[in-house]
Amino acid sequence: MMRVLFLKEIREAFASRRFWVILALCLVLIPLGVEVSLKGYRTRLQNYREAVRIYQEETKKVSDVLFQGGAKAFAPPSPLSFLSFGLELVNPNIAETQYKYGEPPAVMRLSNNQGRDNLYEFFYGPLDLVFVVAVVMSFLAVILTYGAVAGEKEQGTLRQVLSNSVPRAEFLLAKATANGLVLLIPFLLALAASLVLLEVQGNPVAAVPGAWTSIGLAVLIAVLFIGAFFSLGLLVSALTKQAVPALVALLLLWVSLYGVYPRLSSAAAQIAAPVRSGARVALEKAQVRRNIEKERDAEVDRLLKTLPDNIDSDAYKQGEKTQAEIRDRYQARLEESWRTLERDVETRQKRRNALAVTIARLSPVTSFIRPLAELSRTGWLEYEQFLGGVRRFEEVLNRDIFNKNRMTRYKHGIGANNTADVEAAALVFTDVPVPAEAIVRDVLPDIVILVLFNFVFFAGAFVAFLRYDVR
Amino acid sequence: MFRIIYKKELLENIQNYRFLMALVICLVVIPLGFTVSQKDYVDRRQVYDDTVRDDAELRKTVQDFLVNGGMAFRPPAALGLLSSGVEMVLPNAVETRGFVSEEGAQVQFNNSRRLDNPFTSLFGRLDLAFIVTTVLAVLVMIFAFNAVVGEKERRTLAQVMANAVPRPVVIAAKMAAGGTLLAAAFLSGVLAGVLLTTALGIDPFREAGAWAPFGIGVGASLVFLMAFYGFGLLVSSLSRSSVSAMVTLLSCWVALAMIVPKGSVVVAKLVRPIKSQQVVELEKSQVRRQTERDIDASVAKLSQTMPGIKDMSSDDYFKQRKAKNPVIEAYEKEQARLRSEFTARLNADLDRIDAAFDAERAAQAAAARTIARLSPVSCLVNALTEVAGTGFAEDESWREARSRYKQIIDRDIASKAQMTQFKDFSYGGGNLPRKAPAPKLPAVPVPLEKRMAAVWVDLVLLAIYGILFFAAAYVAFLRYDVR
Repeated sequence: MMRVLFLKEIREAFASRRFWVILALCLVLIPLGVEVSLKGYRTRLQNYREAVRIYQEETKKVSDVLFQGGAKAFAPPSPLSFLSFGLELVNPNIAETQYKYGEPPAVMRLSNNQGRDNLYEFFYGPLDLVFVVAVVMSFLAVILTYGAVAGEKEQGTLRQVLSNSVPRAEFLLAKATANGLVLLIPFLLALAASLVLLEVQGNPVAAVPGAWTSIGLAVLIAVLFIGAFFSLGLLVSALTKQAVPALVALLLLWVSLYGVYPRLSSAAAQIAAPVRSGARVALEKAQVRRNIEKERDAEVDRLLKTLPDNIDSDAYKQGEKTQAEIRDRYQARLEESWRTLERDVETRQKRRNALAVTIARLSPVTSFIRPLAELSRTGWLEYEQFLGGVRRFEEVLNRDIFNKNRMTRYKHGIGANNTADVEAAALVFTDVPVPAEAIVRDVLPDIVILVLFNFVFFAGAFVAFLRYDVR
Repeated sequence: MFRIIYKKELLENIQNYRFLMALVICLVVIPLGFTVSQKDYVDRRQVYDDTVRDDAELRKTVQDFLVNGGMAFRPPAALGLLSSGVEMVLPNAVETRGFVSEEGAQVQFNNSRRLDNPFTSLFGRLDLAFIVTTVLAVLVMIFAFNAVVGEKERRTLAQVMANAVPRPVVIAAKMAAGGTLLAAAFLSGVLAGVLLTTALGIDPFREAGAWAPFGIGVGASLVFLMAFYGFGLLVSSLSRSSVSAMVTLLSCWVALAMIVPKGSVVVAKLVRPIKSQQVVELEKSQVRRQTERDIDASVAKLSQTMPGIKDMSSDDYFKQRKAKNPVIEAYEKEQARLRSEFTARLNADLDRIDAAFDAERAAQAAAARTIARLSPVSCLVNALTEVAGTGFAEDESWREARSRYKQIIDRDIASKAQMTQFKDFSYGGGNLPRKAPAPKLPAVPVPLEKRMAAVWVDLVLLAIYGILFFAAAYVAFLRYDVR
């Protein structure tokens, strides 16, 4: 019976205009989105390479770092951004040293200077796979399912079918499978076309470790997301008596799940577990530095007053040593204060983010958008990875260059003593991508949750249909 | 007759709970959106005020400025609740780069940011622009999709038309009643939002001059809702069943709210590709370095060829200088002339690079904006963004602020600095007013008139869309087969 029903539904589904409209829509939007995203990626990559080239030309030796433009670290754009543009315009893509000559430590300031180049892209949002799936495919899922039960009842066909010896379970399964294929086949065909397009263009993703795993998982998550909306559509259709109220209810659900809930979830997490903003932390760090330097200068002043005028005397030379010790002591204090501040912010940030992720996972939309950004290397993990790399780079720079460039104050002036090898080659930052396993670990719970959404919605639809009054 | 049908439409929408549903959604979502946006603004404003205060302490005099460099900060937009726009990716400040020498200051944008809340960036903000173009747009569709075709399906339209009821009156009454209810729900939500933020002490009206742009934003949103309702009536008057009307409306909304705006960026980038700001800054840095090398070469040539100077040892040079030897004075003058010549050339080159880049950016932006205006949704979002001060006028204003800041620093510091070089020795001359107050960039908010100049086209287009959609619905209804 199931086979007969399935074949009838599938024949109907594929013969209908809907299938061809969906196929055309997918075949236009998805490859177009991939092409446009790849073009944007190539532009960003060219800009990145140009920036690195010019920087390396200008910064060959340690002296260039110390006396010219400082050290820079660049984060390359992600070739997987066609899956999700994510935080590409917000995540820092460059870090530059901020250094007061002779006053270590240097700090690396993170920036993203692509925003002004892509104002409209940021304003209207990108045409990535996330958009096509979260908006277009979820809408199509709603349109395909709102009338699956309520519509058949309205037309009177449901009563006719069920008056024969057709088990309800098989009827619903056949209907769901056939309509699901109408949605999935065009989607997967369009994805296959996009991958061919990717291959034809030299496959820029090949350089990313674990890229195919990421693409595979992204497709799986997308299919699960579409499935969740599809099952939700069936559930609402099986809970309503007419097609129009089913469509209206689904529309309101879509707006809440896509539009309102995700936006409120991030605000709710920030309110429940507030974190000081980056600007506030930068301000606090600057104030800490100034206060510590003030204290240090006062102590150096007191020391200088005790020193004789004869700069060749042993007492004077001992004074220089004492001054260096004072500077070391205050620098250690400053670094410790900063570390404490950073640790506090990081702990709060972790707590807030964990809460935000938990809240976000209560909606299929957010459990789809966030993991896709991580899989595309345009999410929070990417930010943390770059930040970690920059911090390590900063440590090495301070150890090898800036800490060796120390100021000494004398009674009648200042002098900088440099012991860094200024002729040595400048240090180069190497970007280490986020390990594929870390990303997989991060997105696994979302996959499980999406499976659960599918199961709960479909089971709900199944039970509601078994109890459905077909009259 | 109009009054009767208008009343009937009002009652119908109230009785079938659509109005109640719209009212509840507006009363929940708009105040929530306002509160979240305003709370975020108040926090950012506090940090901005503290940063500015801290900066004033740090950079009191020209000497402090020379030691710490210069910085001027961009205040957050007080009306971000209308639209968060591009505020997130605009520069946070302008700052000097390196030492300020007689060659003039290098002033660059500061885009430093640490991700404060990645989820807000990933999932978007619940500002009025989003609420109106997504949440309320869906409500409008629910109000409008079966306004005409639903009556046909229920056969009430044929009954009404069987009486001597003019069709124009019916469609006008439907428009007026739907519009009234939507406006009532929307304005109630806005009022509740204002009251809630006021009660929490975070309302945007504590800032001077916030009422006018807020009023314009709310007015533009109302015009959009009416225009979209008119569009809904048009689709309903062209459809044969409620379901097909809803599906058509949904598809059109996805196209207007998402595909057209995103497509506009794609097309603009294709027809008007531009370089990135980063590459332009690096190009400028290369020009600067090349000019510095040219200056050094010219000064070296001068010291090697100038009679009376070329054979002088460093020791002699400084002794003669102390003795005010006219040859040294002439050398210093000639070197100052050479340096100012190079500085003028450098500034002209840098201005040319900036101007060319700005022209390219403006052309690309104009192309994107023009295409996006094919959709009333983009017109509203553009209008709300500019009115809120989180859009492209703000970007333009910060570009001007950067030039202004450079002019102020050049006038107050760079023009008073003078550097002379002889062989391996450089010595500073000039007359730097080290104890004078540090140069400051006065905060110049973009005046409302300027913001309006950027959006009047969008506002006019919104009104035109409203008229066109209703006129088309009117004509479609006149020709509608009510059987």
